[in-house]
Amino acid sequence: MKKIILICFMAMFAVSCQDAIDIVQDGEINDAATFRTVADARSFLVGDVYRRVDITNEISFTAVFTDEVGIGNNNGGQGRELHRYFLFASDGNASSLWLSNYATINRVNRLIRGSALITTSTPEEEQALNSILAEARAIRAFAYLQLQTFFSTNMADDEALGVMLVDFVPEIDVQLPRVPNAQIYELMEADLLFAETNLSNSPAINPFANNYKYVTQGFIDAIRARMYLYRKNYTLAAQYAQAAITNSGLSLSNTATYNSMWNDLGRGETIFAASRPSAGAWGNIASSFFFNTTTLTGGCFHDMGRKLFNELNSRPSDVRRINWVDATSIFDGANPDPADAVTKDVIVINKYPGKASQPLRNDLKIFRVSEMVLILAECAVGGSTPDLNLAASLVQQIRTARNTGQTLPAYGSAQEAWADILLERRKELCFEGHRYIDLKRLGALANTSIDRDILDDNVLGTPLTLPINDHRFTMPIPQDEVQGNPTIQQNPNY
Amino acid sequence: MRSKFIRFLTLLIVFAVQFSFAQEKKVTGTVSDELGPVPGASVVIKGTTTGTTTDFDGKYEISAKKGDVLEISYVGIKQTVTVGDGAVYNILIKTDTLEGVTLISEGYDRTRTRATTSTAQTTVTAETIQNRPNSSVLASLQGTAPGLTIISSSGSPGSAKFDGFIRGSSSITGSTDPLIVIDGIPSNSNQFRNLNQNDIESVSVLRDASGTAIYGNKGANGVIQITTKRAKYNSGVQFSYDFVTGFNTLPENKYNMANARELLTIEKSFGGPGLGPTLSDEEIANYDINTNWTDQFFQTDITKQHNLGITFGGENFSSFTSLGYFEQGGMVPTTDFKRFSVRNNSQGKSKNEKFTFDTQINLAHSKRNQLDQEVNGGVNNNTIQNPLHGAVMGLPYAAPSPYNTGRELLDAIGFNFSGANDTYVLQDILRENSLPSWFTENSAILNIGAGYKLTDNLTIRNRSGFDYKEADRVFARAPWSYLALAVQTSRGEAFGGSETMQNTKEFTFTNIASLNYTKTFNESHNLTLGAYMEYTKIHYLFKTQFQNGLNPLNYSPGAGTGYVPFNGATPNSFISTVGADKLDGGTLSYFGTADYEYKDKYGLSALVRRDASYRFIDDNKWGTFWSVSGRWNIEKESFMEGSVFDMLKLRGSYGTNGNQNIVAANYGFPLLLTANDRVRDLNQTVTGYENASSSGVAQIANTTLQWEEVAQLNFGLDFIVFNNKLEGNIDWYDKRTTQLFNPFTTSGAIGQYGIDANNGELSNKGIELSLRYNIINKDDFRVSVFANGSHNTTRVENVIDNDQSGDSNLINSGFLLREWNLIPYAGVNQANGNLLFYDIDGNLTESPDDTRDRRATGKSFLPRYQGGFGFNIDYKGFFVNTLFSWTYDAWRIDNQFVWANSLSFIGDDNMTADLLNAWTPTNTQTNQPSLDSTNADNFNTSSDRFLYDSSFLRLKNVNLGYNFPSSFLSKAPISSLRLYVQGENLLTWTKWRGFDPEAITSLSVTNFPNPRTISFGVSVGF
Repeated sequence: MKKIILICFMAMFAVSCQDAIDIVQDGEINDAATFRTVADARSFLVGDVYRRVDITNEISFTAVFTDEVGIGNNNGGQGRELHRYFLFASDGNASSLWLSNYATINRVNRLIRGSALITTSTPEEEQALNSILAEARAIRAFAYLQLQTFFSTNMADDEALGVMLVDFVPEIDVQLPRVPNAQIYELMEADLLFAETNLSNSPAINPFANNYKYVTQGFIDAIRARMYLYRKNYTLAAQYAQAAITNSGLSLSNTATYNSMWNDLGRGETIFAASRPSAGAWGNIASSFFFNTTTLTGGCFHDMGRKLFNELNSRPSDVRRINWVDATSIFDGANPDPADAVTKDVIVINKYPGKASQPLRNDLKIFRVSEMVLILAECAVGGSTPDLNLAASLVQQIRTARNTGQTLPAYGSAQEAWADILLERRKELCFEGHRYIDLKRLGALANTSIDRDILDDNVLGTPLTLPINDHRFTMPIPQDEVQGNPTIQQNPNY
Repeated sequence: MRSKFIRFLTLLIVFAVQFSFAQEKKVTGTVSDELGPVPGASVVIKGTTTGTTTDFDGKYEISAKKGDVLEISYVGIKQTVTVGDGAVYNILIKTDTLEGVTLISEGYDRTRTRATTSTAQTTVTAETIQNRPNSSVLASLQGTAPGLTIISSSGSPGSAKFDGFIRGSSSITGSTDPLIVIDGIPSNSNQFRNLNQNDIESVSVLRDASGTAIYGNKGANGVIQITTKRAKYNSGVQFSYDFVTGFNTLPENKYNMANARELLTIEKSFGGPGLGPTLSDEEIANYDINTNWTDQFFQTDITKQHNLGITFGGENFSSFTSLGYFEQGGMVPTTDFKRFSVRNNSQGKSKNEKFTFDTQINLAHSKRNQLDQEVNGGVNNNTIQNPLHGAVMGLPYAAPSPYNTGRELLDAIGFNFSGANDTYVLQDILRENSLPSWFTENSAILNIGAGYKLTDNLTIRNRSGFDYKEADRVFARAPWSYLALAVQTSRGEAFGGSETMQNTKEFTFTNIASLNYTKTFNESHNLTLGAYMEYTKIHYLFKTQFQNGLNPLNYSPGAGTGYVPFNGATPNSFISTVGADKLDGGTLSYFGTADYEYKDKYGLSALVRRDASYRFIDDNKWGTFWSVSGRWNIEKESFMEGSVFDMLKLRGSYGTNGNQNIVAANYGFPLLLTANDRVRDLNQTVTGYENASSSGVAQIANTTLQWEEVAQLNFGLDFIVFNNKLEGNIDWYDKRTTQLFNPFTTSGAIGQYGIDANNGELSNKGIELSLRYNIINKDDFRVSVFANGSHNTTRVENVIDNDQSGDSNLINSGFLLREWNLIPYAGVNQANGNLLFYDIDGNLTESPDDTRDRRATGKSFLPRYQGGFGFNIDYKGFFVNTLFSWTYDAWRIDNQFVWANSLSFIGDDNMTADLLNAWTPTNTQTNQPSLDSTNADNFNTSSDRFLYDSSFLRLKNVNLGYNFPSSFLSKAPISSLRLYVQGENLLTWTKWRGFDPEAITSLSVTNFPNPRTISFGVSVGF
């Protein structure tokens, strides 16, 4: 009897009690539940990939650090340190720019991993799934382009230091090194090739086919054009810039169309824009410059840089002068007193005029035809057989479209051509996040650099320019990344 | 089985006939054991039915003649003494076959004697706990055990807001609550409002690894073992009845709040808003209204307890049954707590004593009407919805609200909360049924334990615990209340008001199976081995419903009546929402123990425990914890013969524990169910691109999640000297938590820069001392004093340091846990009346930098020193027992007082009369800034201007009474009678200016103070 009791008792020890420790809470949405059908994959693409496409950090950082803005009349400290060239690894812009793009990459990788759980039963389904992955990978390539643009020491050098290569879903303790640019480019090229091959134009398969707020062939070409331009591969840059224009079926907008484009009333010449609808909780691009509205009294903490304004103002008929400088702007005579210009001389930026019920919100125009035209112009100057006349005529296309009233320029030298292209980029692409990389790429060629006016800062001792080879033309690897990834290589001089 | 009734009847007959033998004499004495007098022991003349039982002080009185043998029985143990020529026979009963000392529980049915334990522990007995006017037993433990900190951040009756620390805080984000074990079953709760403290026999506090390691993944924060009362075998039938009633009052604050005339003067001097500037000095001097808002909102309230206990002890079966009723008013209108509880604890054994079993059944129902503020921290700083705040800030020159209903109030003030209006709204809120807010809780706890002795050496046991709790909450804005009418009016709806009803069900099953082997070799070597398995599973279900729109015609709180149905014509009104949350959790553990003893002189113990938690996966699912401990009873050595030491024991232990509750549970939420899915990637539905309904990532898994690990080294000395007159314990410990669950920095490659993960280190080091000295120990006169104290330093040893230069409470390597990081306040600038501070370079400044000029202060709101002391005096039945508790070196910011000093509230709120001494060009020697100061309202919580020493000494409990002697009672149908008065929190000495220094929280405005209670009690035994 005792033995029986003992045996029964010991049996209790052996009985599996796993039910107490193998518990998954009811109703959890894991990947298996998230990725069952092709529609699920699109749901994730829309919910956590497209949603993250954002260039607000790029625009804001570029505007404040370079010469696009001055201190506004309601500035309570916003961006002042950056405006005075204080750029360290602890910089918040570097941190959020880095993270925002890596988060996008992470979600694309999760979508790719999750899509492997989906079994397609028809060729159409398979096409649809591949089209979804094409969109995702195009967006991944774009995120890498952004990271390279701001963090690579020299994009034109394949051996120079690029960023971290993440084409998988990493564990939380991952610590990756930076890789040479070539490896990043290789991934981007593969992504873009996959995207081009698999993106469907059939609305039955891709419900957003040919919708400029989604991935289109034009978007894929435009990424390539910009990437190859920055890499100084002018042949491919020109090829894809032309393809982007051709494939999107767009041309440079006339003044009216151009204006309605900035008011989000029409597509205009936009190849790709990140949608920011009125309804819902979305970021407000004009919050980079204003607290409340894009007017003098709207809590303006950054106004337009005086030199940029002067360039626009020199051509009064320029549609950009007419529309991008808000009518509420105030001017303190011909020679404002720098001491109080911050409050008395306020050039109110109106490139992002807002949309219905959202005075600070606009779609983020990421690729436009004018950029492609200017890429073609650069390629004409930088290509193996420079054609300065072609370059001039391309720049003139922009000026004609914007109604500047200028005549066809004649470039006496390559440097003149570079300088004029850079000037036109400064005007045409202002507040779109280009100026920083443009100065880094073209500043030396055009013999120019940051170009500020004394009125741009109330601290009058702030330098009006930086040497074009200054280390700050490459952003620091953010301290937040270094804390979690201590062995990552920092950029020079940070 | 001798029934006490029979003896009782016999006695009655004896008295009735006034019959006695000439040779009989009165024999008296005290029955005691090692710990003191034993009440309820039975004293019977052998071979007769004549007998009595000892009273509360262990005394008995019986008529006997020379040669009679008195049989004393207690806990199934019989001892005899023969009556000789003397009249006084004090009996020391041996409650344990080993040494004649009380057994100490070391967890899981393991017991040791006081001489042989190697654990740092303190046992608090029923006398310290019972009949105290506290709804939670935890409140009664403050000051009773070294190293134990009980924090009640709300003194509202029945509040769940209790936190405990044993030896400091062992975690930063995780649970720091000690494990509470009730009758051998580890609890999964942090809220014990349904436990009747009069049912408790003893509470032991286990502090070192020797005591806690056996609780493995649950014992990292120390262990509080609660044992409920049991009846002794062969104790007959006994009844006891306790009644306590008293009143609670709100303690005073020392804010020196202005009266009406003072406030008007301040307002006039300030020249801003308010009534003051509109009055002349003469009008102010003659101003008649002076409302004390604290008196308006807080009133003396009643507390009441009834407890009936019935014990029955037969040869092989005994049971204890109790009925308890507890009621306490909350001092604020609409708040109170009521509890009804029933308990039955039974135990039995087979005739051959091989089979034993015991059951504990506890049923309870409680209802608690409470303030919204108890569960809604969002209204802490709200003078409209929080009476704790509103009472202090109410304008004394305003008369109490003349408006009798919410409607009248709304018509009168609209949405204007300026001046006294906010206080008027608060008055409306505190009207009966204006904002009904209550919890009811029904609980049933059933424990069943059984053991069988297979051989003399081998015993198997099983213990199961079933713990069921169901709570219902109702929280409503009645449609006639001001708040409901205001919202209704502003939204233009036909009906206002809202009602939330919530239901929580919680079931925990615990099973502990064990096998114990014990054998003594060669009479001097004793070996005990144990093997255990513990299984815990918890199921939790929460449901909530919310209705917007109540019809005052038939709305009744909590009845579901008056709900206005949704109408498509008004799509934004009368919307109901529902929600639910179901969670499951569990743990599984195997562990083994080995204890070796040699000749009572040396003891060595070791244990190892394997724990698995549902929270973790893969390699981290199972964790191993262990401990070793030893003791040396030096007094048993030959060289100690003849020394003054009755006991001198050196102890040492080292061991590890895990804390799997890596995220602390909210008050009342099961500890085991937080962080229940952190190891898994989770997705969710989101509003996607172009506002499309879509899916996205909700949580990135931390697959490496694991236990926080606590390792503790402890050395201790237990001693008893001078013929048991002085006894004490000294302990030194070094406790180190590693693998702290903390914010952890990650590479942006995972899509975020941080995730909560295990990293970092925290240490608690300290010493503890406890002493008891029996100064006089005579039969009718006893005096003893006791004291305990501890010193503990909690320091963050290693965390991923981030920039906390702007934070007030640091969590950074090398600093105290939550060390104050503040700008030093230098005083008032005598030139202009502004505040002066020291910048980081030590220069005086009026405008310090909120980030750069802060510095670590070496001060924390967790007390570094704390303890308790008191005395017990017993003289011919009169007794005085006291318990003082104290803390030292604890610092808190009194943000309630910040409000009372804020110049920007002048005109809207009451101010401290300290402002009358504000700096003026003619009154420059003051520490009170000018009313025109430009910076007086700045840096009040970022500087140390309002950082106060919240050390205190408090007369926690005093109990004064009289035990009627049995001679007096001999003609009454009762066997014992005690009358007493007691005071709780009667006196407090502190520099703290607020209501209550005892709440150990960083800020003060959130704390409902512990009430001051004076009560009268009577205890009857028959």
